[in-house]
Amino acid sequence: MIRGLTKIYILGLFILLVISLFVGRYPIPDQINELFSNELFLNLIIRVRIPRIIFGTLVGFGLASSGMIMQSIFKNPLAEPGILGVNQAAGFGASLGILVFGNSYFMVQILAFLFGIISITLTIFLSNNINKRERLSLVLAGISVSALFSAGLGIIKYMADPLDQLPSIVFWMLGSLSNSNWTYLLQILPIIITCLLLLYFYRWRLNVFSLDKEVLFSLGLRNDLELMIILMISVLLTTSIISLSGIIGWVGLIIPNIARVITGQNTKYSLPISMILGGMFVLVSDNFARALLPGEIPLGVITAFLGAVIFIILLLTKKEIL
Amino acid sequence: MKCNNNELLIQSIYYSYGEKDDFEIRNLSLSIPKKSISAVIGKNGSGKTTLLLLMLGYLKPASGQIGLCTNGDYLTIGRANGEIAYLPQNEEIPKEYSVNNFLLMGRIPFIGSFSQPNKKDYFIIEDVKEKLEIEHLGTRKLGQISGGELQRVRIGRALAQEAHLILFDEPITHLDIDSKHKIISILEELKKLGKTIVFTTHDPLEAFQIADNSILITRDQKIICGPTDHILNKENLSWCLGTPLEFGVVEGQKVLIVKSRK
Repeated sequence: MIRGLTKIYILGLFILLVISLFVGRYPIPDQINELFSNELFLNLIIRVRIPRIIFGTLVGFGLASSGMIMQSIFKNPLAEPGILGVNQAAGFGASLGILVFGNSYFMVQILAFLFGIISITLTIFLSNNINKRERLSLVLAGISVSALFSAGLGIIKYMADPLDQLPSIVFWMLGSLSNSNWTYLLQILPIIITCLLLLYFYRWRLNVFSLDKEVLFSLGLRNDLELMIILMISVLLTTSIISLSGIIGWVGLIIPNIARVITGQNTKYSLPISMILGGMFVLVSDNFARALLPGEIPLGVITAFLGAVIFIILLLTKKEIL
Repeated sequence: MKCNNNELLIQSIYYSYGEKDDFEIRNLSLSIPKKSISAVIGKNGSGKTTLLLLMLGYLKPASGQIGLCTNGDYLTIGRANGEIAYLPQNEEIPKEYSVNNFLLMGRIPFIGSFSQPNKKDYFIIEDVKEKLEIEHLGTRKLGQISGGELQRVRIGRALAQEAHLILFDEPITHLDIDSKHKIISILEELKKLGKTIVFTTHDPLEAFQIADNSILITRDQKIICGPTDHILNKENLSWCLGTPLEFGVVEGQKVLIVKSRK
């Protein structure tokens, strides 16, 4: 039954992909044969829209699966890269990269990952020292770490060149897919695809973290190594995405929760559904970002708005999230 | 190291529990025979769970050795990997999971990190459910079944794990009378299937009912072990549980009576 459901969602994603090709401010040619003869239009589709749509889908896949991984590992439906401080830290790292190394995308990416790792380590350490069992302690630790890096970001903004660097940092902080040209995309595509595949094949095993530590030990998971590796993969995935798209919030938080409502707790099903829904959510949001106003609205603003609305609905109807 | 007919060998281990707690195990040696049921008996907080976790290898003794005998080979416990099933007392149960999913997790030692359960795994789950008479629970959520049923499902996970040694923390005490009997007969059934079981309890009667051997943790933290009838005599129990006790026999079954202090 669930398998049939997954097929329907995949179909939905494909339809959305095709629709998204034609959403934007450039007018769609009136006649069908003009679709292929209008060189400007074809160029637009191939050079701008296709990489953007591919990246958008991957952003959704990646952020939603990272959220699902973290929620499962920490047994906490509120855990996700944003709340655990990874987003802000990656933002800080990337801005530092822009400030110090200018246009070296490679360094931006490395720094984003580095600070992502630092932040999640800090959050876990803090939360273990507050109260291991309490759900809230992880969230509080994450908020604190997030705030630290926000402050750091503030300093970087203050130091940035107001004419050249500052606008790009600010725009980038709000999140956008407009940077996604083929050159950048092909640079991070291998990392993102590898991470996504690893997580996808890990989908059944992810269930094990619902068990007690001692039980896991008896089942042969004798230390936290595997947990750490999976967590690092999801941090790498998140920060790679963020280093190109900027901070796009809420996807990692709400999408996995919706996926669980649809498929139930078994991560064998909820992880793939989560990926697909994440892709759809980001595509729809980006379509709004492109087409709603004459100028482009930052994607992060749209996902925050839609995400918050959905989250409020979830909170009111599904009490177990808290 | 000679295994003889033993499942688990503990050789002169020392273990102490942090600094605040003064719990200590001093120079403990014991062996758990294959295909037997052993009861660990002691008052609450006497260190029963600690002993079980040492047998699992989760806690490590300061000195001494614990080893497992699998297929006649001696294996130090540190190298065991999924051979021992452990069922904690207050296990955190993922209530939203179905019984089938939960049972499948017993197959973790056999399924690679990046692969999915295969037909054989599903087949084993069906087999386990049949053995424990829980076929009807398969698709039910863990949060929706009774305490006795949950206990059987957890045993099912241990069976799916194909562990020869099952460590069971307080399996019976908190169940209602009906479920108690069911679990007791299941444990006996498991022994017949060739499993070795170690369980903890603070009720000596449970030991009398099913345990071949008893491991008694006394008040001064001595640990004595041997055949149940021999170890659980009136004097040992009265001293150990801190209450004067007397045995009686009702319809051929042993009962414990607390002596009145008048």
